[in-house]
Amino acid sequence: MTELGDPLIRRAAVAQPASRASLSLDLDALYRSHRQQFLRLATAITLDRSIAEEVVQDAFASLQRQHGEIDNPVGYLQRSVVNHSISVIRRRRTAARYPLPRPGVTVNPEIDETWAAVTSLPARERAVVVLRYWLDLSEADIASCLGWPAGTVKSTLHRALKRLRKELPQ
Amino acid sequence: MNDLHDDVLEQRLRVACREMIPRLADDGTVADGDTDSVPWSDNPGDSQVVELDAFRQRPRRSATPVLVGAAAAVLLVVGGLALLQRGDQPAPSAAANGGVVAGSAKAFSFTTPTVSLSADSISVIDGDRSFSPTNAQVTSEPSGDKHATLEITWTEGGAEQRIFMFFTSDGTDWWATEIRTYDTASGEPDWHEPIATGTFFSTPLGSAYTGDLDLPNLRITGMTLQAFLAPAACEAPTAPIALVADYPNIVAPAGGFGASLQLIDTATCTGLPVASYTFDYTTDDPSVALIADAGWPNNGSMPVEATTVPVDQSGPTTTVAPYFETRARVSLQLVAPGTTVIHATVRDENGVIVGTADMNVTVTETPQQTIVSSTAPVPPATQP
Repeated sequence: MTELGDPLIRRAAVAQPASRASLSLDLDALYRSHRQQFLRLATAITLDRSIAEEVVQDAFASLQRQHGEIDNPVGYLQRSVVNHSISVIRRRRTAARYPLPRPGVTVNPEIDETWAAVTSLPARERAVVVLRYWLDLSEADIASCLGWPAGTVKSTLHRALKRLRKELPQ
Repeated sequence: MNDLHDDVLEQRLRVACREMIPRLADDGTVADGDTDSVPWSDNPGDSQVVELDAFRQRPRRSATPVLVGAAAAVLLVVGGLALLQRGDQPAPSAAANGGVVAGSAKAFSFTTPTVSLSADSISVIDGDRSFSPTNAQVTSEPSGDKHATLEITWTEGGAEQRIFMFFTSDGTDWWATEIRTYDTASGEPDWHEPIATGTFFSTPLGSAYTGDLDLPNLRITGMTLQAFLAPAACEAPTAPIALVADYPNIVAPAGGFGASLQLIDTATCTGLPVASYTFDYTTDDPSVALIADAGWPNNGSMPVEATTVPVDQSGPTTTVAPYFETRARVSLQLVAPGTTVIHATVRDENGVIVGTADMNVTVTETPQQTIVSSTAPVPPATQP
């Protein structure tokens, strides 16, 4: 998939970029309304809040560099945050640097145990799990969101659930 | 013990995600420096990571010409081990304060821009088999002055072997927080478990740790290890400014690769803000790798805007940590297997070249599993 081939991206030849003032205003509004959600998403994948902040910052920065060429900025940000979070972890291999959350975070040990198992997943699998069970995206939506083949999403989710079943005996 | 039914597992996942993820970033309004209070931060004093009793590091006296009596040495070793068993940081070895052991000729020696490791022996133990790195790829992930990695990868016995170490620093000391090796014996290769986490090799910045490491799956003897090395350009500076590639040797399959470079003030050995400089990149062989995006600071006004975005609905405009200011970024497109060199040139505001750097690129065969690029994300068809 290329940017040029994606109908959601407008090129300057089709539509002039927004003025700096309106672009800045829109980005501010988007930042206010979505930063928290994306920060949570990135943190859930990277398990590192400071890295998550960089990832989200990068996503907004990348969006701004497109200068009005994006028709679906929220979707763009979501894909950027997820893919960049996975990539950062793949390259930094820090996914398990913080393998365990604080014990007893909730009053329900089952929730703590389940989340601990989620944090032990590889980043790609954790990303799919979070998109599926936190954001309630279907497998098709996840494939579309990440730009992955549907089969890759299905097999990744299958592997993740298999690991989780092993980690979380009945 | 039975596995969870699918519907029960899915319900548990939904509840756990909805309960836990909001706690990870509970307000989204992060002030400068607030990351230090993150509950799972790697501040050693705040560590919640389980120390595994089975894992031992054995700091030992080096071959530096400091003679200490046998009784004192025994006390030092015993004391160090006692500290380890309490989970505290070990006392630095003699060489830890004096740098690399002089005159040592080690069988294994790996150096990246940020980490160096030499040792008499390195063995990954995998069941009844043992592996030692030969013709290894050695890289480090530079992550600023707080995080670094050493990643050693090689192929032996037809299987990929890995030793990964993760380092952190508080500005005074450095230490490893995690050490991983790869499990090739199982049907599905994965990291050996349990993964060794805790505090290893704690040593003052600028000094090397010497000693042995004895983990269930990794044994290293005669080790000299140092993380957060000062850039080589600072050791013997030839110009006031040096351009240093974070990834001087890139070995990766086809796809996107985000590279970065630092401008170093060689007098102070600190990074310079890159905003007022211009970076040019060329490739020797565009059929192997090409420049996809000259990135920051060449393109766009992002940093100015991004450092002044408001952090909440009502509050004043707040500056967000300008982590990107001292690193130039370039997006590479690794096209096809082969080797090439990416040349970087940096000019000041007057157009004068102040530094150059090369990045050697080796594009490998694409692995079976797709690797997601960190660059050039494109919008999806759906919204969250």
